[in-house]
Amino acid sequence: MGRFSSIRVLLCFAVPPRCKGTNVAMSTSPPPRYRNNAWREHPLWNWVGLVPFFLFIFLFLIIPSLNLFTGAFVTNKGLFTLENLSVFRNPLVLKAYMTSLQVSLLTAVIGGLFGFFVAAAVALGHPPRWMRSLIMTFSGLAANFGGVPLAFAFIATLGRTGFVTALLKEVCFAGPDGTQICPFNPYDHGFSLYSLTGLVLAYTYFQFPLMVLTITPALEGMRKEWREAAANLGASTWQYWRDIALPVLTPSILGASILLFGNAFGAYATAQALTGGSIPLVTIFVGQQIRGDVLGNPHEGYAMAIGMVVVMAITIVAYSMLQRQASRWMKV
Amino acid sequence: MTHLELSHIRKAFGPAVVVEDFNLAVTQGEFISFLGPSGCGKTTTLRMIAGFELPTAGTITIDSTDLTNTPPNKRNVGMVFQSYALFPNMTVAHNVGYGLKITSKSKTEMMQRVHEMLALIQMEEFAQRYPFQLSGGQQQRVALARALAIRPKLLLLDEPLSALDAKIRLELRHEIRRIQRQLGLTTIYVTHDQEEALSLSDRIVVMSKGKIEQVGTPTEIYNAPATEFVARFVGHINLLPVTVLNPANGVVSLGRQTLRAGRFGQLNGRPVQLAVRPEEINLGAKPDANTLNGEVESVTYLGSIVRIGLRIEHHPLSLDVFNEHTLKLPRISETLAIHFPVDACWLMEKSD
Repeated sequence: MGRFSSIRVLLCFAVPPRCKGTNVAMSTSPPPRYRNNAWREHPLWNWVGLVPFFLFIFLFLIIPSLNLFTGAFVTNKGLFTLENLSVFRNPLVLKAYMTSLQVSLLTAVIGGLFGFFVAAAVALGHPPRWMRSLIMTFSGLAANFGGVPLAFAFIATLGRTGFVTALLKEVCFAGPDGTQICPFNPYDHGFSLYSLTGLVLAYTYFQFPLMVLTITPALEGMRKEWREAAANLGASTWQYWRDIALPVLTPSILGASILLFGNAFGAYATAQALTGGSIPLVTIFVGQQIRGDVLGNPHEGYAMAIGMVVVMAITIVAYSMLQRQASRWMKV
Repeated sequence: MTHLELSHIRKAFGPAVVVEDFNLAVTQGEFISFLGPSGCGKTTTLRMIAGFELPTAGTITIDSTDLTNTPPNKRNVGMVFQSYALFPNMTVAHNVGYGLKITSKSKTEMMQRVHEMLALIQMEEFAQRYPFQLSGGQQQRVALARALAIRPKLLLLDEPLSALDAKIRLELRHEIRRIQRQLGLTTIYVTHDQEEALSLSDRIVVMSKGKIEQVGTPTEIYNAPATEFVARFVGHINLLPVTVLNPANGVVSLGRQTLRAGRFGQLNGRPVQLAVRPEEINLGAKPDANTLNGEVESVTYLGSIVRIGLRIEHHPLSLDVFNEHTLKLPRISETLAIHFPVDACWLMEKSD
């Protein structure tokens, strides 16, 4: 407080017009403590640190969302219309939504389960510290390794001429009827990297590390004494997981699952680079509409994007309800 | 009749031996405390009884059944943890009834037992609360009820009161003893708090560096400590280095002053110390008692008593006097005469 008063007095000496109406002699006498500090105690100051965040959200979430929303209800000439929503009557668009949902759910479940087991091995299996660091670093990297590089990496390994495919061609396998299949070319047995299966495989690459990153802290928070107390009361390992560990972890698992679902639902570049748009996903359809070529209608693209927002909103509401139910024992 | 027997128990974690040749026989209904400083192996021993750790060597038997390699969920041993370890996703009633649910008891029987246990800990009205809605003391009472609900053969308590504040600790200490006596349950109690061990136990096992130093009743442990470690760890003690003048009658010298010890065993020529508790020492001189003169170094109020620190022949000695209103406290640097009965002190060989 005193520091601010001193600055004000110094300003009065340095810049005389600032001293208009200010009694310098009075200012030099020690003022009552905290007299001018009320402004610093204003609740608004608690929010100052969040200004950059809100600015970012406003510029890159609110404005684009509003633009998206208004764009979905106007024509190319800027007139209000509901015609863009007719895109939802198009069976191809509906199929794209279904495929997107299917891929998102499937990769959330596969990535979630696989990631959960890896995280459990890290958190509860007491691996050496270097191993834990290695897995966590890899997870951090892989969870953010998507798009064109990921697609290229998969094409280079599991593509028609990928090195793993080439390797598999050299290895003999026993067929279902006991006969030797040699060489084994996965592409001769229904596998294709450029199909839905391939897409799910590629998505799983960044989905499971994301699960590892999000669920490991929750697993590490599980107290050893709970397991011991359960065993002490006669519970088997399975009963402990069923009655205590999984219910305690459910809110975290739900949170991680919604993250995985949203991560896959909004993915675009990986699918586009891997399949060249041959698999109908909503994001690919939206991309086709707003890319700016002559066949595109950005306003229909906006409408489809609104549809995605609605799907995510419904998912989040469902998640919140489940979360509330699962974490009632944490409510104060 | 022996209820629990620990025979030649040894536990090593790699090269570190944490429990060494531990032998103990506990009778039915006995309350035993494992007392010792941190890292002395008391909790490890308890965890071996519970089945959470396997002994490297030795056997653990309960009612003559060897349980050394039996998994913890097959032992029927109740345990109360320092951190309560209540299941956060279950209400108080579900926590208490969980062990019964596991053993597939009927719902009626389960409800009845839960009510019985909640009545025992006087917490019936908290049945539907979750652990986060309870205080530390309440949580520990629930943990106790949960451990007792399964009618265990043995109750194990791992520093159950150390996370609680002093007042609650005292209340709960009495409650644990009351319940234990009421149920006649054999109990092993781990603590580093000597006051807890002395006030609760039928017998105390004092441990140091993985070994048993002494097993005895609280009176034996306090009044006749077997080793210097026990003497120092349990209560406050003065150990004065003395020279034996006559091994036959316990006459020793401390500098130029001569004293006599009431108890002195076989002395093997090792350095000897005269042991006396501060509360046995009185102010002033007395002809038929050991009398010493020393200089006052400190005077410390401890509430009901005042501890006076003296320096006698270059050695520190403290004595406790009741904080009575007539008490005239000595001044620092004042020379003071003190005395203690011959029977109240003993000779103890200095340990390595």
